[in-house]
Amino acid sequence: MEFVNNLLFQPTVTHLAASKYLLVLTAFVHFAYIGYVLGTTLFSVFFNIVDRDTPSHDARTLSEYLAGLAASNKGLMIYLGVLPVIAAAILYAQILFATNQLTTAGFVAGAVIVPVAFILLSLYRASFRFREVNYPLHILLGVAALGAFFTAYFIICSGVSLSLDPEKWPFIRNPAEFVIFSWNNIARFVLFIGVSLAITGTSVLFLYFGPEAAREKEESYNRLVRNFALGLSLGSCLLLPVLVYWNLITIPDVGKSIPMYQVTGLALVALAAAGRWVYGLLVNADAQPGFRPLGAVLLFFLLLTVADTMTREYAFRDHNYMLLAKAEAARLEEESKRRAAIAEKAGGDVGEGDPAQGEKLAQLNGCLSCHSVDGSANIGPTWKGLYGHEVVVLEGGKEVTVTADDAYIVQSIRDPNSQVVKGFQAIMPAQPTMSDQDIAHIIAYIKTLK
Amino acid sequence: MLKRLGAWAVYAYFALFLAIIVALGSYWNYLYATPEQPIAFPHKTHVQVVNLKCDNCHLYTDKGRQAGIPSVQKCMECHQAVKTESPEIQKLTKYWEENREIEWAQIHKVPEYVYFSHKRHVTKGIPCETCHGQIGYEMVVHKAKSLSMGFCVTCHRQNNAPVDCYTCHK
Repeated sequence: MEFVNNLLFQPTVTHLAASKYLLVLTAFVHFAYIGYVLGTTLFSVFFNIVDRDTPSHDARTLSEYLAGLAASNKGLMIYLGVLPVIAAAILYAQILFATNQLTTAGFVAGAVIVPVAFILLSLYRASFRFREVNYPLHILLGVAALGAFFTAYFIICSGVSLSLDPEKWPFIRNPAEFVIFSWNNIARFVLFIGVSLAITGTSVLFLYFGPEAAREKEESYNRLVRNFALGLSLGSCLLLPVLVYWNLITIPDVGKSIPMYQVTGLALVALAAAGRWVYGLLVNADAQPGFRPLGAVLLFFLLLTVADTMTREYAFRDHNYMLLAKAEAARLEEESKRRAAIAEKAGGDVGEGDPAQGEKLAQLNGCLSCHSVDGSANIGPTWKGLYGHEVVVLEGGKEVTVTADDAYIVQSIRDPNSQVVKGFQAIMPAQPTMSDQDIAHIIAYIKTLK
Repeated sequence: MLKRLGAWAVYAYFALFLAIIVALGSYWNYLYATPEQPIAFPHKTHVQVVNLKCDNCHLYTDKGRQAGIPSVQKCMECHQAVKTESPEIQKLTKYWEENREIEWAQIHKVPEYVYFSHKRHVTKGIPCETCHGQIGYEMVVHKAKSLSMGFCVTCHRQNNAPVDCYTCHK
C-alpha cells in the first residue's frame, strides 16, 4: 500500500480540514443509503422465506415491494452506493497519510465487494419473475447480496474503528488481525445494523404512506405494511440507545471528549422524538405517517456521524501534528532551496546589509528580548560595541578569545552553543529559518551600535 | 389513558439512556479529561518558535527516573526579560517573587506499582514522542498514549526489551 502515499498530497491544514468535512458528508449520505438498502433487502428475503413456508399473498407482495425499494434506481446505486466508498477510501488515505493504510484498505475491499452486492441485488429483484421456476436460485441471489453487504460493511466498520485507535496502528499490519482487535468494531457494526433497521422502518412508512402514496392494495396488505414498518421502527428505536451506549464504552479513551458526549446526547434526543412519533402512529390507527419519523432518525444518524468525527478529531490529534510537522519541514526545505537559487543567481554573494532592516528583523525574531543595544546586562551579551571587539568565549569548556567579525556573528546565529560568551548560559536557540541575507542585515545593524 | 402512559414510558426509556450518557460523560470528565494548568504554558511556542530541545528544560531525562519538571528558576532564566508583558508570565513572576513552585496538574501518570525510569528509555534512544506524543506541537498538554500495560509490553516486545514481570513491577 506504500504507493498510495505517492498518489496523494503531503497534507496541509487546509487539506486535513477539507477532508474532514467531506468525510462527514460522505459517511452520512452513504451509510444512510446503504442502511436503507441493507434493511429492505434483509426483510425482502425474510418475507420471501415466510411466504415459502406459509404461503401468503401479502407477504409475497411485500417481499417484492421491498426488493423494489432496495434496487429502485441504478443512479442511486452508483452515486450513493459505490462512488462514496471510493471517495471515503481516498479521504481516509489523505487523513491517515503515511501511517495507517488498513482503514483505506478496508474501504478499497468495500469498493470491490459493494458493486458485486448491488449486481446480486439487482439480479435478485429481476428474478422475482422466475421465482416459481427456480426458487432456490432466486433466494440464493438475495442471500448472497445480503452476505456481500454484511461482509463489506463489517470490513469497513472494522477499518473505521481501527482508525480511532492510533496506538494499534504500528502493531496491526495484517488485515486478518484488524477485524478482531477490539470490541469497538463489533459494537460499531451492530450499531450500523441497528441504524439500518430504523432507517428502513421509517423509510417504508414514509414511502408507502407518504405524499405520493402508491396504495391500491387491499386493506389486509396495507395493515401488514403498516404494522411491519411501525414494529420495525419502534423496535429499532428502542434498541438503538443500548447500541449507542455499547459503542460509546468501547471507544478508545484517546478519542473521547466532552463535545462527543454532548452530541451523542443530542442524537438520543432526536431518536426519542422518532420513537415518540412512531409510538403515536402505533396506538392511533387513523394517524397518517409523514416524513417526521424518518427525518428524526436521519437527524439522529447525522448527529451520530458528527460525534464520530469528533472522536476522530481527538484520536488523530497527535497524528495530525506529525503530518503538519512534516509538511512544515518540507516547506522549509523548499524555501531554503529557493533562497539558495536566488543567491546563486546573484553570484553566490549576499547583498549589502541594511541597518534599518536589521533592526526590524532583530525585533521580529525576538533577538532584542535577550540582547540589549544600550550596553546593559541581560540574558545574552549586549550588542553595543560588539562588532570588531574581542570576546572571551567558552568553546568545549576551554576559554578562547575571538574577534567579533562577520564570521563569528554568523556562527553565533547558526550554531549559538558552539561558542558561548563567558559568563552567559548556553540557552540561545539556533535560527534555521533566518536567511544569509537576513543575517547580513542584522550584522549591518550591529555595526551601527558603537 | 393507557396510550398516554405508553407515551410516558417511551419518554422515560429515552430519558434513562440520556441520563446514562450524561453520567458516562461526567465520569469521564471527572477522571480522564485534561485538567486545567495553573499557567497556560505552550510547549508549541517553546519548541517550534524558540527551537528549544526537551532536555533544555527537563534536565534529568537521561539522568534519573524522573524527567524533571523545570523549576520556576529555570523559567525565569529567560522570562526575567522575555515576554514580561504577558499576563501568564506575570503569573510566573508572582510565583518567583513569592518564592513558590508551580503546582502543575499531572497528565502522564503510571500507577505506583510500576517502576519506570526515563533514563533507561532516553539513553537507549527512545524518542520522547513515543510515549508523550507530538508534545512539541501542543498548546495544552494532553495524554496522547494510554501508557497502559499493553502499550508498554507491545513496545518492549517490538524492541526486544525484557518483558518479565520484574522488569516493571519491582
